[in-house]
Amino acid sequence: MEIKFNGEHTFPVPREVLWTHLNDPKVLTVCLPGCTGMEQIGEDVYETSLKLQVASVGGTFTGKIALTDKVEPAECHMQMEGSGTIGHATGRAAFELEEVSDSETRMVYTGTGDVGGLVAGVGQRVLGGVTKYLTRRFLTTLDKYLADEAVAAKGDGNTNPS
Amino acid sequence: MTSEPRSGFRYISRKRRPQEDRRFLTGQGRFVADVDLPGMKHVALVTSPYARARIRGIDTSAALGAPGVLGVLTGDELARATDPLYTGIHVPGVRRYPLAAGEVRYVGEWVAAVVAEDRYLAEDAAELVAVDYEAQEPVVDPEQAVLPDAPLVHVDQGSNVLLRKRWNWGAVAEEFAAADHRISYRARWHRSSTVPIETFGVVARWDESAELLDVWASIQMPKFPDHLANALRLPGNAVRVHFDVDVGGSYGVKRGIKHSVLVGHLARTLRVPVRLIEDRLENMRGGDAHGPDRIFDVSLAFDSDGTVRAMKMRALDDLGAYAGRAPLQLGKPVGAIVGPYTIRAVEYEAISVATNKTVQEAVRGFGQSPTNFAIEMGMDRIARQLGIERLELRRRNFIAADQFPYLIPSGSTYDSGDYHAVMDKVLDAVDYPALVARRDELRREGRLAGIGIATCLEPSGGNSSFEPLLNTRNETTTWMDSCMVRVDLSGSVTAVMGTSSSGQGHETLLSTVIGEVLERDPDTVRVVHADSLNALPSNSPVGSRMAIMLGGAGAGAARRIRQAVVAIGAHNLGVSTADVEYSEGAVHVRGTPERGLSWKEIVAIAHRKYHLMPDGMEPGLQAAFVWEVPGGGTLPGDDGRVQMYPCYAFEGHLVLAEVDRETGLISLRSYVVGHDCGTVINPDIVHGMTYGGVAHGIGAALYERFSYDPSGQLVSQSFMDYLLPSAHEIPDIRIVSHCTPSPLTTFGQKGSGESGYLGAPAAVVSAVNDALAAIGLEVNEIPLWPGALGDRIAAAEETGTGTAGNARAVPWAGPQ
Amino acid sequence: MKAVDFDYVRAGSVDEVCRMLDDAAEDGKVIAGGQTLVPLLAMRLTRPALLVDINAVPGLQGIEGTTDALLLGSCTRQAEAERSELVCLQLPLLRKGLSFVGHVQTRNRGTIGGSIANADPSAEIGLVMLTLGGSVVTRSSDGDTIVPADEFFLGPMITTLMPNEFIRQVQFPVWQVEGWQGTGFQETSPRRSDFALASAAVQLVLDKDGICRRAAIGIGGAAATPVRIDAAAEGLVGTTVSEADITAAADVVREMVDPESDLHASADYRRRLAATLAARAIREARAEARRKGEGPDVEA
Repeated sequence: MEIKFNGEHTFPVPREVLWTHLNDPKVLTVCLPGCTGMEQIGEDVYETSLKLQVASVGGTFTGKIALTDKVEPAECHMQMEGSGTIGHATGRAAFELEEVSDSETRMVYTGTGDVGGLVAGVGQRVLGGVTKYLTRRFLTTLDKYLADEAVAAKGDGNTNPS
Repeated sequence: MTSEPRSGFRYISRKRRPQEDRRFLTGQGRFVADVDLPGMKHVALVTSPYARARIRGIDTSAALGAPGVLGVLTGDELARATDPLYTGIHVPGVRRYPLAAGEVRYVGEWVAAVVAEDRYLAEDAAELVAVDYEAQEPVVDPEQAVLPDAPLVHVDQGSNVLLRKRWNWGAVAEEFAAADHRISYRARWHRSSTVPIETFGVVARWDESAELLDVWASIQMPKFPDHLANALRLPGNAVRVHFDVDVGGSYGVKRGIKHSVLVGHLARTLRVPVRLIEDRLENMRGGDAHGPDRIFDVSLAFDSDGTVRAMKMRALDDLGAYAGRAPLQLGKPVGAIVGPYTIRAVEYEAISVATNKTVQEAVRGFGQSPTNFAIEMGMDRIARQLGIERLELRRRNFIAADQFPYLIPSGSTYDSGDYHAVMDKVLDAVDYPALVARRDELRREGRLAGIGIATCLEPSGGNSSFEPLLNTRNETTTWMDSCMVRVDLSGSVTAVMGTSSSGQGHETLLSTVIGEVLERDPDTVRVVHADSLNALPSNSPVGSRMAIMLGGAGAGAARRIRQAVVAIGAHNLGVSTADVEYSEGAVHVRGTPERGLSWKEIVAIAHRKYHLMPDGMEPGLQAAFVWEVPGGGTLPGDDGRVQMYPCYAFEGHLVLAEVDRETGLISLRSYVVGHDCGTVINPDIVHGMTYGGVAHGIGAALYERFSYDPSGQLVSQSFMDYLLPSAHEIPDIRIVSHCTPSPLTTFGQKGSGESGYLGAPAAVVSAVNDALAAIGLEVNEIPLWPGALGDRIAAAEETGTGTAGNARAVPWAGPQ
Repeated sequence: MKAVDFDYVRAGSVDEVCRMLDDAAEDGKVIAGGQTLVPLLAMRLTRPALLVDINAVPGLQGIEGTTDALLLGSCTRQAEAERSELVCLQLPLLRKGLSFVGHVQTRNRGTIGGSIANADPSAEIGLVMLTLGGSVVTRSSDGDTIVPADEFFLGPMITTLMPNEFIRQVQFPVWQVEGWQGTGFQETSPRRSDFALASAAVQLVLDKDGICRRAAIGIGGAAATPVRIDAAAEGLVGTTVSEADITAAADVVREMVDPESDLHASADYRRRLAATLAARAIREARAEARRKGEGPDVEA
């Protein structure tokens, strides 16, 4: 089942900072919904494992994420594939990072996914909505990650923990 | 319901409670899931999540180590041990096994089977079978699949076009040239099926000492035991199929040959009884039980008075990944290709295309209902174009009662009928002017209301002539059925039939005709289902044939009993058989009722008193009868002309529908169907099948669809998305009966198992188009879902054009 | 279609449910009527380690009235609510919505809280709760939390409910506004009782002059969650709810919903349908209110 998703989100950080974070598997592990591990297996290619739970429905997945066509720090494409007990998916997405100001960056993203297996066979009615929700959750988690990091960095500057 | 046709019969055509009712209504049916053998093990299936993929490898080690697992079977192993499943047409490059070997070709195709102590453990282990797939580009659109550069579903076959036949019957070109008018249009019948409550199930047990495979299956399939034995490389007498299993619904689709070969093989190799009951998901995606999926491109040539002179029809069917029964379902409609009309010349092209979708199975009507839908859409179009009332147009084209027997261009002779009379009766019963007034009143209220009309035929008495028609290697010219009748020492009558029943009421059928011939109360006649080793030949209840074929066989056997009784009676009364009369089992000298022998006395002579038997008569009182299809025995001609089926029932539908302009929702307000299937054996059974058939047809027209996405995923695997109509959606249906007996059958009966379904889709679409005409919109594909229809109404009201979004009309292009 | 192995506990008290969910960490799941959960289990789409059955927990069933709300125990059967006199008198909108929930057979088993927790974007009970501005009382070992309906639904089948929480009660406000209250519930689905392609719930109050004093409009099936269209409802307040007023409200609905396309209907269709059904539901509610006020249901 094909699912299209697109939108934009503005992060309160400079473009280079956002770029670095988006290319950091540690950050992605934290921010990708359900991600339980991410291992680099080649240049810009990662093996991931996910335990995804949306409401009652859930399962474990393993897959690959590859970053391609990078134009640092403005543009990046992503290819994903994964499969698990309840289905499989492939997807590709494109991100463009635009400087809104020195401290704000707008991410514009477009992507399509293709879902197969049981979850496509019985879940077509809600897959689009769930994808939107998961995308939003990724963005808000990243937002929060960046904010927490900023607070921590600020903390670092003001105090001197031993 | 109108009054029943009068009959001179004692039991036939009388309203009598079907014998099976008691069993089913009290929950005493015995279905395959009720067969519980000691030590029986359970199968779960590993199925493909991809529409097309190469299998790089299968790792079964984890599954084999799981609790309770007896074995895991892969496609490669099974392909080595069995022969490919039978394919009706000659496509040597298409080899089909129960489990995919090397490559998967549709979502849900079986890849491996796990046998375990129970189904839960089997499913646990099935998840542990690791299949390494290399996904490939599938071919999903049938019109793309025919193109030379399309990916091949079967590389060895060299083409996705598994069948392409074209016939020309009559002076088609001349009629087209001479006609006043010509139209071309497209009709799209999307993939639906019959979806029984009971999924397919099979239990098999291998008896090593007897070298015998016992099989209990929810089966409705001709020559099933033979196909099963062949695939398992066993002699026919090493397979015993038990036909005393009740089948919980079928109407064609219960042909689980792949299920049975798999389970038979597992039982034989694991030396344990094995059971596979499909769950609903397995049934929907991998049960290989989808129905026709057709694109019709039709051209009609007609005169200004409405006379239809000729038709060109191209039917392209998306058969899915393996040949199955789908190509043959393009063959049966040849036998009624002009419907009830006097169309003089026909060009018909049948194309079967393989795609990466679930395999089709036989479905009620065997391809006739989609064909009727395509023809009837044309009749409505002609009527609209010429401004002739739609029923009147049909009446002008009907074959008249005095024209029977009537030879149609494609070589079949229609046995009998009186289509005008049936429609007169329908119009009387329904008060047609009042119905029209009701529609017009709704229209005045601003609603979209329409009346639908469809008239069509039910070819019946299945003889499988489409097999030799489409495959010259197949020389089938008989499709017999049989019955054995025994009278025991107590005088009670038992009839043995050689196939299973899936709700058609065969026990009632047989007991009624035997009771009729023997003049004995049918309720005292017991009907049993033999197993395949002690059964006389049967071709199972396909093609609306059992009233004709099993009824004929039962009557034939009963007549032999009656003749024996008369012979014994006459012999002991000292007169010739011409001088005695048979009455309710007793025999007396004609004109002298007091000089006679009772049924009990004659039975006792037959069983015990050989000295009182006429010379040369065998002892006991039993008779077998094997009945050949009336008019059977000849192969189709080289020009494709063929006597497809012997009998032709008629039905005429009239329906009032309303389309909600804003929501696109269609509601059916009134439904009446006129039905003439000759002599009715049991009215309740025939009416029940007709009600169900209409509901089934409404399902095809408005609700049911196996939907695929562009990557070949089946996105309607559950009843959330495959919409079966419920009682809420089906209006009250009124049946108007008429009887034109068939001259070819024992009691004048014709088939009726497909009734209702054959015309309902056409009638519903006709009603919707009558309603949509007010906004210049016409629909030509089914099912009609409110979402899509609502979008089209909105577009039509916005732009003022009604054809946007219709399936593309392609004018007939002739041979390519 | 056989569930994976799981443990099953039939809890005897609210505290036991909490304890069980805590013990199960994130792998516990509450079962009430099971009308969605059991198929999900059978298809192995959900794989809890522990199933906590709340059907026998005292205090979770029943309908209680307060001055301005009806409190429905989460395990109250939908059929019981549908037949309840209290619901009939004080929450007619819920009663109307319930008639569209599944079938009679599923309503006998399905519960009020179960439907809310399941959070299907097309579900009727959640739509009514949201439309009326109700709330969900969730329970964990930390005690009760009251979550307003506006905050509860996050996405399709996604709510704020944490793995250690369950729904104890669902609260539906009963309006205390002088005048004549009318309700409307409209739904379109391919077959009766299918998941709604869209649905609309409306409650309004007309005063003695036929002026709308309060209104609420909710739409189901046309976004990731049920949505309340306050701008449309506010537009009706102070009007006579004329056809023009209804059209204006429907236009707002059309602008505000955010539907997805699926197999059965396009996003455009759902958007139009939401507006159509909103208009029909407003008319239904208006007619009911006017009937109560014995005024004629005609264009003012």
